[in-house]
Amino acid sequence: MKKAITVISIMLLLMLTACGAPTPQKAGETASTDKKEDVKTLTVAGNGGVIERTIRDVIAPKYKEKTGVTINYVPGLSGEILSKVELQKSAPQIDVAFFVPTDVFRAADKELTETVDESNVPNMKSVKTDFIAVEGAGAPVFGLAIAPAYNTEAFEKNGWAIKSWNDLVSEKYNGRTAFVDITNDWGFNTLNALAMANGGGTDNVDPGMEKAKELAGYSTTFYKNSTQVMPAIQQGAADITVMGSYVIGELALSGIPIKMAVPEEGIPLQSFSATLVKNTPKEEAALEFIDYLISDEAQELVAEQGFYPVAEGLELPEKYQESIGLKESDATFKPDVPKFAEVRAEWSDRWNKEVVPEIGKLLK
Amino acid sequence: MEPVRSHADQETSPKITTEPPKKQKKMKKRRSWVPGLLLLVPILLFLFGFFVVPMLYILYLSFISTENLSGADAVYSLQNYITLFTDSYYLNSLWITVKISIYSVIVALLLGYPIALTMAKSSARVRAIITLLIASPLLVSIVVRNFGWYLLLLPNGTINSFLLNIGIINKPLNLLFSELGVVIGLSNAYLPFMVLAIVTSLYNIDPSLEKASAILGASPMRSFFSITLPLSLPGIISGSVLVFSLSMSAYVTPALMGGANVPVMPVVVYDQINNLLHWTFGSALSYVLLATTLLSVFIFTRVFEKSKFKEVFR
Repeated sequence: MKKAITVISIMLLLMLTACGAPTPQKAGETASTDKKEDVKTLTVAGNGGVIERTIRDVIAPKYKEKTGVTINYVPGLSGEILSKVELQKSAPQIDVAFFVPTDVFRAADKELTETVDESNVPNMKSVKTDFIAVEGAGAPVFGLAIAPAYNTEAFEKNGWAIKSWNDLVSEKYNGRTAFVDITNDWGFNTLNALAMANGGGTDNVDPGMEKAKELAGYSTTFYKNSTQVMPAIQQGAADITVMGSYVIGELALSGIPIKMAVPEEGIPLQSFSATLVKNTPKEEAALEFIDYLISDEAQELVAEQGFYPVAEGLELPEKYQESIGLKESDATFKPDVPKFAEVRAEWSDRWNKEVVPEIGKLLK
Repeated sequence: MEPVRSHADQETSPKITTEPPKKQKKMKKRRSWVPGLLLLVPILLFLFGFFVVPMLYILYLSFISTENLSGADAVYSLQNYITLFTDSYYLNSLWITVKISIYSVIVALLLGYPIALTMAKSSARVRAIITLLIASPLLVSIVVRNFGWYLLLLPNGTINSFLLNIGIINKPLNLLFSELGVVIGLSNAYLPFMVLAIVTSLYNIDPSLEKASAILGASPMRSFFSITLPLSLPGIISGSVLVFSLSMSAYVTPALMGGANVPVMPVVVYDQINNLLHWTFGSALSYVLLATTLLSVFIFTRVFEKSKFKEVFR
């Protein structure tokens, strides 16, 4: 018995020792992997769906043709990727991570990413500044706006229009709405915009919370998962929603009668940004890839998928103009991302306790 | 001259005969469990590495309190647990989770028992077909199944449209984004576990018992309630424990079918960890969820094991 216990203990100890975190390679320390010419693959993590398709099927093959570097894409939600990067911070498996703006800030705040600016990514010079989430923390790649969208047929038939963010809140929709929960960026930006439309803002969310309670009252739910909003629109279960412009463009292109609305208070412009993961042994190759992502060539490919091009001088393709095209007169703004990160937990907490219990209460 | 053979058994055999009988018995006993233990080593190592170590790490995290995203102000404290037990939102979430899990067990049991009974009474061929049918939903991803349910249960989905068209209802039923929707999803997803657990205990019932009760004049109903049902209790208990535990920890179904309206614990934990990056608070929530599940299962099984049917558990 004792012998068996000893054997098992030794094995467990050996295993525990093996569990220890490996010593991280300092940037530039390893001669073999750090050299540009040795890098054959880069691991890129980012959102699934259209972003994954764009990188994996459109950009990666072009990039391989140009440089010989294979891009391995790991799909996941922004928050999940941030958790992964944090867990692997001593020995990163991901070289380039895509984040939504708040996570760009949180990653930088937690010192999980390295600086990305004009000094190491030359193409940053020609990037539209409105799309930059946090200065120096990443390169904006997939430009978008978070905006209301509506069923054009239902709105035309009923003579409805969205002139203000407050027009999202109405009993006339009879519960045929599809808004996401605050845990998602679309929901968070909706609350921020409702605050702005009612005399508040990121500094003062109280008016937004009050209006959001009314919004909840006229809603059947707030979706926990944004991927459910698309089928709700496609099935005709909802006439109004708030979503990313690229999704609206994609739905419209597939024949769904949907269009983006730009309320007078404006819509927040932002981007999925590529960040350089700290301690990656492939820093130089990763920076080159990021630089390529914001080059005119790559941005044209990105725009073809329904994202606003972030490079100066490029326009959204004609096929998307009708559904998500932005006119000169359309009001847009750049959200205060660091402030968003600061208030996120508090707003979520208040939303869960004050807004969610009101769901459906005003529906007849 | 014949060389002295140094074969082990020849050398040791005289020794063995001199050993006291008690020690011999002990050695024999030891030999019998050593191979068993060795067979267990791979799974023990696997569980230790991939279950015990991460769970201990999560437990450790749950005792760390931090407000700062970078964890700069982290201190050891019970603050996470204090917040959890003093904030009605989290307690309510725990209550909703327990409530929904109990409902799911009841629905799965009511739907599953007749199926299990039919299987137990059928021929081997029919039984095989039913088993395949019962297990077939497990072959489809839970996400895909939930999207199927979602499209069926939408206000303008198949079920509501059908009921509206035949005039049973005037306005769409609130099937989605309610506790009802989540219970439908969970009991559907975990029905196979209930059926397979009950049917196993039904197979073990001696058929002559029912015959004997019939000979003694008991009606089929009486036979069922006096013999079949009590003897299948171990299956009912194990099926219920399985469905309850799985429902308590379910994330996908409550998130997709309940939306924000049904904030069950796993969804709250996910939000805390992945959206708010409150790892340590999320860890504390996980442990309270785990403790609640274990305690509920313990109380549930103890109640039955101490009941008047305790004989069937021996």
